[in-house]
Amino acid sequence: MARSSSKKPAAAKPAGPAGQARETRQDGSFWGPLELSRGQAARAQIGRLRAEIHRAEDDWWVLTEELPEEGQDPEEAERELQPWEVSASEAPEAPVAGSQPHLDVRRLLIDSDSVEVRPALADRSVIVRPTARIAVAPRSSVVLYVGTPIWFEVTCDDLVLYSRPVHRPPDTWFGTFYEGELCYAARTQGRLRLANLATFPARAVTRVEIENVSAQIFEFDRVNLPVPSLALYRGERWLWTDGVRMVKADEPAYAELDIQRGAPKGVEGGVETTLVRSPRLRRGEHSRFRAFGSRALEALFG
Amino acid sequence: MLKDLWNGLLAQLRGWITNVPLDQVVRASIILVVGWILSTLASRAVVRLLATRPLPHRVIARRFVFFGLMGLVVATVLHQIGFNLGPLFGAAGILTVAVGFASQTSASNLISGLFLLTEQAVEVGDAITVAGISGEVTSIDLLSTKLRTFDNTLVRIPNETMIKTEVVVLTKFPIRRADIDLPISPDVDLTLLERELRQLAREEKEILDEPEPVFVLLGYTESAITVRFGGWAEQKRFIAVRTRFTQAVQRRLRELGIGLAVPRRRIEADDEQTEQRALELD
Repeated sequence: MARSSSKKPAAAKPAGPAGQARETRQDGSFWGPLELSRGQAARAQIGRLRAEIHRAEDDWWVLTEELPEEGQDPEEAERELQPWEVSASEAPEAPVAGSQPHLDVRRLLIDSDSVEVRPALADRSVIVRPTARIAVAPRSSVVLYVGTPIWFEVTCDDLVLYSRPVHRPPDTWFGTFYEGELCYAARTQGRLRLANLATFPARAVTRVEIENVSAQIFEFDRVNLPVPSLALYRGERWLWTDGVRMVKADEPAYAELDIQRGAPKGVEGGVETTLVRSPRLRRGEHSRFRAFGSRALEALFG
Repeated sequence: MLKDLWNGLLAQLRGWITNVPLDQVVRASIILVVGWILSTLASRAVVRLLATRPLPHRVIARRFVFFGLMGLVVATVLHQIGFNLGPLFGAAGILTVAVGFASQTSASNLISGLFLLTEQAVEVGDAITVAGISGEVTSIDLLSTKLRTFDNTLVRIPNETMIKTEVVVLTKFPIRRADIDLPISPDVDLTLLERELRQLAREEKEILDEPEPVFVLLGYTESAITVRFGGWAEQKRFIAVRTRFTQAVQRRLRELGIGLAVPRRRIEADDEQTEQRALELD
């Protein structure tokens, strides 16, 4: 997979606001190694996240900013993907504190000719709420394809130097007023067929199989997806996580969880998927956990 | 005169010491040493037994066992060497009453401290508000509880106060609700206000998606409707989230042209020579 940037030093070309030399990475990809000469910068956009990586004389700079929605269709904005464009650039300066609250600046003191831009899954579990409450018939199973937000990481020699969510998902609480887990919230259409699944560059897709082994109809409207325990894979169209199988017995809210290592088979039309990120947390492939919620915590008293 | 008394006392003591047989002294010494070793071992064993309990409990249990056993050992030793402990206990009883009267407050704090430690409503590291003072509990001792206030001063709260007054533990539960009470003019469209506030809460990523924020009406008077809007946040981030969210609400209300209600009275004047007039005073 040749994903290095153009070898031609862009600094030799006339630089300046009007005639700035710009080169796009040859394979048009967003994720992968990024090789820059001194005095070069690369700019790209994924969803509403605009990212710049500069290589100055002795250090690297990462600047990211989540652009405001500004009346744009949120789904449309999330599909935006502009691959890295390399151009000559002055080293950036850190903004005066508070002057650009949305701009996140990190200076990396590393001695390397390249860094790698990698996707990662969320650092907390994601509570996925289907758009409508789902009922699973007794002794049957369903397969849902669920998208969860991904993180943008800059690494060097497998060391994560910078990490932030592409779109910061809202926090949510999974549990009771007394105990529980801080998670991220996400909405999903809960697609049953892959053909109906849209491509979002800033989401990873998980194949979730829910098996109802009880004799009753099982209804739920939120699923706890333990994404820190899942690995991330890259396919042709989508980013994939390990598959998840949840077996729901009679005990309310809890399920047996099976993590099926590897991206689901055959989902990318025969194209092999490659592992891009191991799980953040190591966890047994079989465990029992609080998987479902069926009612929001109710704040009864004003 | 005094010298004679002193000499007499010394002579009596000398006589008593010389009269005590050597074997009794040896026996008393052995009891003292063995008793001391056994008390130490017993107190350590109690600490090991209570390994799961908080540190202050273990310290108190250790001292209690050690000093209790050592008291018995000392009494036995004195008895061995011929002391009659009866009058001493009598004197101790009188002394206890005297000391008890003199140290009522300390005794009350001591007992309160014991109750506080067994109740475990407050633990070291909790942020609490007691008697109007907020801070982090740095230690719960027998007589007092020490608080580090948020502006970094040390406040000593007597344990009696901790037992007598209500103590608010701010960090007991993992999530908290940040309430903003808004007295607004009765002319404001409440549906619009609720929609805008909920939208703002969605934009503030650290306000939890669930439990959902609450929107309740607290009161309706001639000059104001009081609306309470409360978004939930993780307890550790609560202050930051509440500050940021309140700022966002203030900005959004200004954009929408919604000001807070001001008290108003309508005064009607009935004058024969002029027409009836209404004067609205703000």
